[in-house]
Amino acid sequence: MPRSGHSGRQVRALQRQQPHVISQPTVVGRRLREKLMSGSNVLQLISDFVERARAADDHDKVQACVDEGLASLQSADVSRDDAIHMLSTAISSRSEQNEADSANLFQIFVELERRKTPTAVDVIPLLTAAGSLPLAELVMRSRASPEPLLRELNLLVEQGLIEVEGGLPKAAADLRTDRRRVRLTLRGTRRAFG
Amino acid sequence: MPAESGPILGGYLVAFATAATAVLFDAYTNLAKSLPRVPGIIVIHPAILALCGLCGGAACVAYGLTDPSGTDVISTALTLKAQNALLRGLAVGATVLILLRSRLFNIQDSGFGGEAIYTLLRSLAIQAVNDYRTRQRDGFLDLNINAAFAMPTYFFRLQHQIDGSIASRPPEYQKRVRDEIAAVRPNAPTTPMRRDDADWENYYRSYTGICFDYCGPNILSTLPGFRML
Repeated sequence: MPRSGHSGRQVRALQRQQPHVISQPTVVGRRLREKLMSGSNVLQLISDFVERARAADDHDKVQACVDEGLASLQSADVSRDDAIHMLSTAISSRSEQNEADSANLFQIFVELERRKTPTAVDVIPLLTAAGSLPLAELVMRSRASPEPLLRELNLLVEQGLIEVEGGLPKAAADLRTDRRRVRLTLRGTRRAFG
Repeated sequence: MPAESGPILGGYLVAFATAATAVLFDAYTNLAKSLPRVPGIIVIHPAILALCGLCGGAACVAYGLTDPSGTDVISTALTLKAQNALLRGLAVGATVLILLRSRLFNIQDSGFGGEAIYTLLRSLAIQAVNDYRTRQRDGFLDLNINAAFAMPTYFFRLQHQIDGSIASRPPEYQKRVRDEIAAVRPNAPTTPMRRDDADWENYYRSYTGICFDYCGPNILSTLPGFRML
């Protein structure tokens, strides 16, 4: 006997008369529907973000647009890293479709990259993988800021693992524009490839 | 004797070829592991061929000095007592590398003996390959910098080229490329893109350099105005 007090035959008869009764969502169905609605909501948020990004033509607007885009997606239960990835992908696809907006979209794209959590990259593996590099490019390719990078470079020079044409600059700020090359010494080469 | 010269010369040749091939393969696997950006074909760089030649020469010397019917330990170990000249060449070529790369003893963590010398020579050869590839990259970047800055959408197009090129690569290769790009991107200058801006030039060299390293110059040459070296 069903819990409602109706017999099986009565329930089946009721379902024939009122088919919507059996189409009422179960718990699983309700969750699926919520997820789908949430998914379409995320798509709408991304679409709105791209439209705003097209009009972001100065630094303040770029910042505001990215802040707003990330906040809206995070409020829809999307993690920060996923939100940055989704927005970057959307911006990239949009620029492919319409080159006219590329300048503004690129600034948004760069700002999104800046928001990613940085992680350190060692100098020796970088010089091993990329070959010798000018200091300015080393700063750009190593995620580290100039001060810790200069400290690390000094340490590696002292250990005889790397050498810099003409020596290292004294000030960390000069690293960003310095074109002197850094390369592995024989000792560094042996450590890297041995 | 003339009757023996053919097989004996063949024995030398087989010993040389076996040792040289083994070293070439060792250099190739080491290159692939430590320098994934360098295409495999670069293994025929003169520095690596010289290393192969050196080890092949050592195999020939060992072939000439060993006696397959001798009773000394080294002759027995290298020739495996093969009497046929070609088989002896094969045995000596393969086993001489074991002797060359022997580690006599350790000083702290460093091995001392033939292995240390072999590893040093191999490292130098691989570094020569690395430097050669770096010079190629710098030349390519110099050649095409004007064409890149003539394209307002250059960096987007570059990223699309990279995405397309690495799509069929193994996941760890893709991750390495993405990690390197992710390190560069946040450093994009906030000023409008200009050829005479040092920051933009560094950005161009770093970003395009990664593409050259991991995707090769061919896909870049499809961009408008780009030329091969």
